[in-house]
Amino acid sequence: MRSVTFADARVVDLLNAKFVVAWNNHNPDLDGGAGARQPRFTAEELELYPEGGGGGNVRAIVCLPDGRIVHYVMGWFRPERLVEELEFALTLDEKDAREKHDAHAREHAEAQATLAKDHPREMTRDFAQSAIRRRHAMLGLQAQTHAVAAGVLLQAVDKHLDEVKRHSSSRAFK
Amino acid sequence: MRTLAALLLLASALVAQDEDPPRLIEQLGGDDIDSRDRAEAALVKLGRPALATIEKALAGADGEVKARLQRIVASITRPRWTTDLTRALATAKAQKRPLFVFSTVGDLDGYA
Repeated sequence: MRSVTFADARVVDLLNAKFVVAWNNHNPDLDGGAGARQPRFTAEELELYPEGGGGGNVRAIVCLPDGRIVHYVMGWFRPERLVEELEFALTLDEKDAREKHDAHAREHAEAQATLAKDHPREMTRDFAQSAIRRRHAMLGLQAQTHAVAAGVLLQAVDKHLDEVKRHSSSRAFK
Repeated sequence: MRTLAALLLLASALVAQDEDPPRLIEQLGGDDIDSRDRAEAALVKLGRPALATIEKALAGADGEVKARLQRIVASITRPRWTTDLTRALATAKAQKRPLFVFSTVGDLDGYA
């Protein structure tokens, strides 16, 4: 994320122009440990790295100015996708956020189903070999992202991250 | 009427000076620390359009000017992270701006 998505001009300019930007470590127990340092990927490896990869280790959270969560993206997202999610998040307010997340989840799920119906042969191919298969997976991830966001909607971000930290730290040492 | 026109001309010239990257870079090496700070803030505010000029100046800079130019480039080309969530929450509330939190396991610099 740091050397690709957060180095991208579109992402940086949008974040710096529209948001207060904070970085949080939800498992400081692993700081400097083997799990905290990742190898640098080559451009070829990154091209094939699945968006959403990394799961709960990486969370991008958008909040209203009062700190309540309106959008929640888990895993690694490419710059263009993160920009898409950030721009969507900027349209949300406390009254319409749930409705818009539900609508987007439905749209992505429908688009995913249509893609599978139109390209049945592509669905059996390897991810690395098929852009359509990767697009199909991405649509599923985006639908899931909206469902995850709806589950934490309007929670206070500091309290939510305290919970994540408690869960994450205890899990790491079991 | 003529006085008003002259004042407007002077004001626009002053604004132009404040937005002129080479002039602001020159001010980074001035004697007055407040002027140096103001020039740094103005260059950050100019953002990406001023980047080429700033990077060119950086190649030949040293000492405090170099440090300030490096800080300016970082401010323009990276998200302006704060690691203090409480402060970020207070800033977002005061400025009525949305808050973006990137939360990771471990050190941010550990992430590719």
